[in-house]
Amino acid sequence: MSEWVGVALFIMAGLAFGVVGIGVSFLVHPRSKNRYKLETYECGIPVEGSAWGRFKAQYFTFALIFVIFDVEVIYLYPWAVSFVQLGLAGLVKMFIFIFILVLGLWYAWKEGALEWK
Amino acid sequence: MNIDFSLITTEIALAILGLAIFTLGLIIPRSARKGLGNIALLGLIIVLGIAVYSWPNQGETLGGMYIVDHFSSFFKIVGLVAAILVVFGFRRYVAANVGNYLEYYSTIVFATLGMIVMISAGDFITLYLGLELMTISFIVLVAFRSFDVKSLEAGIKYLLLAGMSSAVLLYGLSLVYGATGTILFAEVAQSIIDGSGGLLLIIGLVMLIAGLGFKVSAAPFHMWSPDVYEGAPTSVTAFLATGSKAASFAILIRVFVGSLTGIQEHWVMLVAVLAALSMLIGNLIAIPQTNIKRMLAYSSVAQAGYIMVGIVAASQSGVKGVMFYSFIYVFATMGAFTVVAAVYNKIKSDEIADYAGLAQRAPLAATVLLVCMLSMAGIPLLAGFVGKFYLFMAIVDGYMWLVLLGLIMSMVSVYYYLRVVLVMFRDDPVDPTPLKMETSVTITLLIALGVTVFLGIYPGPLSEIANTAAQSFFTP
Amino acid sequence: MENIFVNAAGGIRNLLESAGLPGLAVDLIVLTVIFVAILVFVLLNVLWLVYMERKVSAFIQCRIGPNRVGPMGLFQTIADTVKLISKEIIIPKNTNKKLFLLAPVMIFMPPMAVFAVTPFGKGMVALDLNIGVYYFVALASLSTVIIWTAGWTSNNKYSLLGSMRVVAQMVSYEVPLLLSIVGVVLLTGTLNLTGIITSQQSVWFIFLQPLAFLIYLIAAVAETNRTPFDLVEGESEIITGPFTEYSGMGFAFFFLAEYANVLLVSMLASILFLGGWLAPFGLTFIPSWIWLLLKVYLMIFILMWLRWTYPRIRIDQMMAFCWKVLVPLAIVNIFVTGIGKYLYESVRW
Repeated sequence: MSEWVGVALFIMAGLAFGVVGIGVSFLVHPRSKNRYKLETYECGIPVEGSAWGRFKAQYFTFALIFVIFDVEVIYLYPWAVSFVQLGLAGLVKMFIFIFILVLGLWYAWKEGALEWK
Repeated sequence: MNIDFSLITTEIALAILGLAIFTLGLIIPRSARKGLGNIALLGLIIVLGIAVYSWPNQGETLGGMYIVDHFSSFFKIVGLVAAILVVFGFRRYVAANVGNYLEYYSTIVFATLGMIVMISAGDFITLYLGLELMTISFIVLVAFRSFDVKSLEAGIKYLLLAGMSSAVLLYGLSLVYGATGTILFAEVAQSIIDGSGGLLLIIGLVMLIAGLGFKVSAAPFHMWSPDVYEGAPTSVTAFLATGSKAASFAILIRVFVGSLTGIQEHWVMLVAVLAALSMLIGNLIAIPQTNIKRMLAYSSVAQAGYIMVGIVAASQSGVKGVMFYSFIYVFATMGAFTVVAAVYNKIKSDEIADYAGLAQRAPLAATVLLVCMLSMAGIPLLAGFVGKFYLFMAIVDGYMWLVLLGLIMSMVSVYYYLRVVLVMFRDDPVDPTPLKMETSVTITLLIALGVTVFLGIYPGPLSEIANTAAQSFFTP
Repeated sequence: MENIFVNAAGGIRNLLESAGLPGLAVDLIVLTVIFVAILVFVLLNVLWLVYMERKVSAFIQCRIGPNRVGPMGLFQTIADTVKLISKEIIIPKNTNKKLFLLAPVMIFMPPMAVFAVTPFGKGMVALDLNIGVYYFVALASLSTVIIWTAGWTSNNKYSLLGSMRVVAQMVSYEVPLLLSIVGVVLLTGTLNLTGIITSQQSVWFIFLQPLAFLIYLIAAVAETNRTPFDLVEGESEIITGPFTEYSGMGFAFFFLAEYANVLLVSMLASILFLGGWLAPFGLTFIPSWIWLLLKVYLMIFILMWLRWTYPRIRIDQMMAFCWKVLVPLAIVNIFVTGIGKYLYESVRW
């Protein structure tokens, strides 16, 4: 349990470092008022619209494939750790599992989900 | 942990079938994928053979997480029969309106796999696993006609509401787990007898009813069904109305009659009210419908109400009634939807008005629709009458009001079923050219017709089987 | 020499315990001291890495590099840091101001949290978690979210492009990265980083898992967004992508975090594949932590070498390379490793 207290400490301290860094900079940095300085940077020409809108859907295809794979990979780790105890049965079962995973990748590949259009 | 593979042969065979269809579809060229339908059909028939052959196998495996008894075997066979009829009877419909054979047939098989895993579930995790496999497959299937706005709308509605109901169900499961400290059905039952319970368990119970009530589209959780039934491809609608519903009833019985018997007094009234509401709402709202798929959707809400009557009984005869009714309901519904799909293929319409003169254009289709609808309404000498008789007999002492309501509502349902029949048989067709049905459709219709009539006249054997299977809950 | 840091930590602990503090307080104070030590270590390394990067790039491009501030330009980065602290943090008016500031504050959290479990030498690990690898990968991938936050809240088209690319790239390359590490875990049967190092006593895993090492290296370059995978920043096309709108310390934090991440992935590479702090050829008179540093700097040098040798790749190439080459290769690697390990085990028994 105390290990995880340590983890929490490190995460909090990492955040604190960021807060202190930015805070110190806020204390010492100069401030100048300029209307154009606060404009969004767009190569110096007047800003056209907002960037908060719809975006290319292709990214979401990859996001979906990622979610599937990432979740599956998580299951590979416990298997890898107890590989010796599981023996041949474990090996065969995990190969079936990976085969199904590969089937998904194959499908995505064949159906063109991996092409950047 | 040792796995008794002989008990889960059906599941393994079905999983292999699904993966085989998928792999094969990736190997063969796109133009040849149409043949996957035949492979799916053949494979499902083989799996059905395995399921029937392994009927004597009984037992538990995976430490009680997986129960194989006559009850689960019976519902597995029902689910597989529904899948076979869907694959067989809707081949032309799929070719003309759905396409994407690889995804379609493998998803159908995986949905079936989800059903039979859920039916055999011995604990909440397996239940949820099977339920989600089934539901996610159905979400894909409902939105399959991605070029059709209605199908997409149905898909999104089903996705959102199924997600909601799964969340509610899962929350209910976790509360029951919290109250009893176990996820195995048998141990939950024991723990309730030993005195665990309280408010937590009751809240969990209510959430379970809500979550599973959604799956069987019992009122007031039926809101999704008309839109989804209308928008989904008709083949998927048929599968959703038969397989999904039958499997959900199986698990409803397994959880409530098999596991939560100890707190029966808390849920019986709730289920009875749901059954009454479903009968009322389903039958009354079905009357003004003009789209046949919507009408059948509301009628299926009403059917869910009838079937829930058997759960209210929570006795061997009640469970037997549920099993019997689920079986015949699969054939009646499948017959009706096959007609709808076949007619849609020709006239591109699901409106009841466009069925005018169907008796002249396609006599067999009209007859089957007539018989199936009358069976659903419960006219004597058809299977539906026997089913309703078993269901209502089970509760006749104690819930007389429910029996009366069921009888009145059955009378009401005759009205809107006959409205379709009148349009088909009395009105003259706008275009009198005969509609030629494909052989596969004809065979499916004949099967549906034959089973519905045969079981109406001679229900003995099936009733005996159901009776034996129902015993698994009431013998210690 | 070998145990200088371990002894120092032990000394502080003894001092505190003799002062009569309760156990948890002692633990926390020691951990805080270790945190500060690691922070100083990381910051010094980052300062040095920036300098090193510029010198290496100059060397590769036949230039001299920084040579004005201090001897051989050694104080160049320090001067840069002072400049960055004293610059204004401009918050453009169209941004989501809170999140805009939160991103640079948070960006140092994942690397620092991960350093908690990295063994810097024999016995030199702040928290010896038994799921170290899991923790490492899970925390390290948090950076994606933070960089994406930076890009999205900027409300700038370049930032949006950059941040979407960051997500696509880091998320995609995480899969081969994770899969390549499975090979190592298969061989050791533990997720504990110290355990992985000690099981390399007889042979380093780079010799048993050469393919996994290669995949890991490529994926690590992509995870740190460095050339040839720096299309997410692409100074010449999308103007440092997610960081376009950041100035002063806001920018400095992202810049520092990038080098902290370089240090991290090099460290993990040394731990997983190069034997960590184990001394090769029995040269144990050199302390273990110096060996680790040597290996880490070898890895860092390779990363820099790659950066200044290869051109930037396109996004379609980047995605195709990940999913069509690296992922299948990594899966093949798991298959081969699994079968090989099984055969090895069955022969041995």
